[in-house]
Amino acid sequence: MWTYNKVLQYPINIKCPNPALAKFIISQYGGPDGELAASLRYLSQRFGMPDQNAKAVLNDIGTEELAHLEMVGTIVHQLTKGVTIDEIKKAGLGAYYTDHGVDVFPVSASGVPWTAAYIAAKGDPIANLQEDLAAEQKARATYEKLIDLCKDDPDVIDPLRFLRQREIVHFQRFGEALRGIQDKLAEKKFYTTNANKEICED
Amino acid sequence: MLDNEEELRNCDECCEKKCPPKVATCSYKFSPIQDIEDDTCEEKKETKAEMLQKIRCLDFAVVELAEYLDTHNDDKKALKLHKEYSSKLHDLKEKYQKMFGPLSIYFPCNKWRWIEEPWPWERGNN
Repeated sequence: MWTYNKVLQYPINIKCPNPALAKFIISQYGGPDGELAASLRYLSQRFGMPDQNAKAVLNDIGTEELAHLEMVGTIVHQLTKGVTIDEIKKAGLGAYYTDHGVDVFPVSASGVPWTAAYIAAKGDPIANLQEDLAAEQKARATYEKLIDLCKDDPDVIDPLRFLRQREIVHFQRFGEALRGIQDKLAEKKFYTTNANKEICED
Repeated sequence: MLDNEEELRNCDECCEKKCPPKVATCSYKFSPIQDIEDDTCEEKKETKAEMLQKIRCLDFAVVELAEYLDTHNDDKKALKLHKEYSSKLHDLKEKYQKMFGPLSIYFPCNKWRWIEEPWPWERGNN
């Protein structure tokens, strides 16, 4: 089970609303490499992990991704709070406004609604962890693109930099979890048939 | 901290190259732990925001150490730090909640202050 803490993982106070930036950043909420996909991917895969380390890594990183989902939602909310219809139209958010107003809805930057097709749970721990490593790199790359697009607003860049750094740490942890499983699979299996004899299977 | 400190530092460096420093200076330091080491809450009257920031820092340290320990369960130094920070986090949260209201629904109140306090996504409440 989870407990909600009434505090963001990293502070976000955006002084100037800017719906054009919200249109890009929402991709990390409901886009292919966003935080919703990340959290559901890891929290779903954890059930099938063969060792204690990998279960813990997926559980704890999946949990942290939920905190990141809240952060990205907060950025989008603060960037669109109190903006005029003209500003919304100018920012290219007219279509979004038609369906969602300024609520935070999981879509990609190009307006595609979130889909479970963004994530995988393959029934194979090696395949799953390789997917997770790629997902962290794709999310890092997305944050770097967003940082490029948000150059004029330090209030927005600051939390984006924090989120980018977390992708790198998570990539490291997934790599360690994968190595642990691969090492275990590569071990030679020994079968003891009686007290004096061991048979080694190559 | 541990093997991540270098990674985080590297990130800062490459980010610095990408963005002009005067535009994007990070207000958040990864290791404000030194400030927390000699926790002077008693001596200095802290504002709500300062205390919340310390809670965020300690919470981050605990999360980071937990994820590290998930793949390095026999690292004694990390385990010691986790013990230290989680206990400090617990104490500071207790103190904050008594002064400023609940951070979770598990904090008992005489009246339902949970709905009075602002939500973290609201501008100006961080």
